[in-house]
Amino acid sequence: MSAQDILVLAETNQEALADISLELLAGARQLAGGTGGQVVAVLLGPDGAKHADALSAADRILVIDDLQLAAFSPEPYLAVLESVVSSEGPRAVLIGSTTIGLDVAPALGARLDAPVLSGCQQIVVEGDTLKVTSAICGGKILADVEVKGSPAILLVLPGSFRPTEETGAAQVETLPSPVALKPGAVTFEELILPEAGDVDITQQDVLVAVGRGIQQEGNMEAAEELAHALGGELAASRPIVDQDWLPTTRQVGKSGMIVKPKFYLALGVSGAPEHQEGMSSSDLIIAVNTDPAAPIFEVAHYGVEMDLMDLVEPLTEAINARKGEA
Amino acid sequence: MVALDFGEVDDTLFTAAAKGADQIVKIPYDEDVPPPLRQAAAMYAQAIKELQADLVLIGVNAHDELEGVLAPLLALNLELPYVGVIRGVKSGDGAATLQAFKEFPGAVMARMNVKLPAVLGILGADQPPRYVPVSRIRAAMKSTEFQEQEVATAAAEPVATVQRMYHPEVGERAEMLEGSEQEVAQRIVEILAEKGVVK
Ligand SMILES: Cc1cc2nc3c(=O)[nH]c(=O)nc-3n(C[C@H](O)[C@H](O)[C@H](O)COP(=O)(O)OP(=O)(O)OC[C@H]3O[C@@H](n4cnc5c(N)ncnc54)[C@H](O)[C@@H]3O)c2cc1C
Repeated sequence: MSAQDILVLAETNQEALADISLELLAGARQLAGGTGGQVVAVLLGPDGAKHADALSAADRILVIDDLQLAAFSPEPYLAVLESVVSSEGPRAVLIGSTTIGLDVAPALGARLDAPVLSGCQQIVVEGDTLKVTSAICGGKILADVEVKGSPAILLVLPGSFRPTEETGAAQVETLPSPVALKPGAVTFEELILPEAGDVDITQQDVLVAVGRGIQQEGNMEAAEELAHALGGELAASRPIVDQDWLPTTRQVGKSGMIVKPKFYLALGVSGAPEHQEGMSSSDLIIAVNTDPAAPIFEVAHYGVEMDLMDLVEPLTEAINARKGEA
Repeated sequence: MVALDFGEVDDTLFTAAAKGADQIVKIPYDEDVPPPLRQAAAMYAQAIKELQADLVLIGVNAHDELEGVLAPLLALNLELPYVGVIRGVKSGDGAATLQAFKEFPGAVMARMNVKLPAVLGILGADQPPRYVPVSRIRAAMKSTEFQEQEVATAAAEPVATVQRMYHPEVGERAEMLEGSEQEVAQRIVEILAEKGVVK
């Protein structure tokens, strides 16, 4: 291991390797090209080895095999990462801006007295300087920063890198935990899966997603009519679910569902990175928003700068008219 | 309720008072720019230690955080355990424990057992937010007194040098559809027909 290496925290999610792991590896490969170092993936958990094949973009894959790491709890994860990063001494550590990453990366940085940057979307090395572009304020502002010190702990936004076909030496090392682990004050008890019965928005060809721009619960019905006219279903951003206007099963994004419908119509959704994470791969995205600077227009193929309630009815009518003709 | 005296924090604190906060502590801070995250964490920790709280709730990730995330740093400064991205809390089996529900992708929650004292990073409540009428906030503005808690501030160096802040280029991909509501609706239908979404 050298001070030019790039370390990646690979995550799993309910037994499967999380997409973010492959994205981070792609980012790490690019970076290692600049530093001349190796890419080292770290997988925590007793079943880690079964995912090692999928991490072939790495040069080394460290699987830390310990029962205390079977499910996420902050203290054992932190203790292992602190030890691994200290002994490996990489130039940068890439951690996904996920429910796990948000818990561990800032504390890891503090424990190692290393800089932490959040919202990272682009990372390059120029000479000795690590340059990062971070998205803040829900993606409305970008900051170009030079990171001081090493290792830089980088919280990377999902969707920032496309998984790569490139492969590394992919040498798997299964190791016991470098530190004795015992349960911390926060322990994992159980996973609670969403209640079955609602429509599965990941299986829909057409989704009409409503955001806070819908403004009133009373407006949901018109949006739903439009969704049904299109042969689709309603989905939503987080504030709509927080208001209980739709169940959590309809939430698109980081903590909701990842959807890839043929058509995604975003009504009054600003397009925060956490929302984009769940929908940016849709085949066709049309966004309606009163704010021409809304980040949703960066991922949308077509945009409409308009009050959504002015468009919903004429659009429903136009679709029904078309269906009548067909 | 504890807050750094920066920006328009008074508005938030009066709303908190109107919603029933019993004690409101402001940490005086005179600079024009907010403190680096590590300094902010140290400042909050000093003020919160005085209160000897069993449970500290903090937002999981503010939208303007660049140098990491405040919530876990606060826990570290308080030497308390931390878990974040929490979407609901229930009392636990024993007096000094609680159950926190941590969000995972796919509308999945993990039930975590938390021994108190602890810090939780809150993403949302399991119930919709409650609004208070403006009249109650106005009344709170008249009747509420904030407590001030001076803290010693060891200035922390920022961990990164910001070279440039800017708005991302708008509409890099989106082609904007212009015209009346009916024209735009018609154009959308044409696009959907071209793509085979509607027949
Ligand atoms: C850890 C974490 C996880 C998260 N997970 C998710 C997630 O899974 N999914 C998710 O969506 N968010 C998630 N978020 C929240 C996310 O950061 C944003 O806060 C959220 O996506 C914003 O929702 P919104 O676009 O509906 O609301 P806002 O950001 O408030 O945007 C509303 C938009 O509506 C527009 N508008 C207003 N009125 C009208 C009108 N009449 N007509 C047309 N447009 C109008 C406005 O211009 C604005 O762009 C998460 C956040 C965190 C920290």
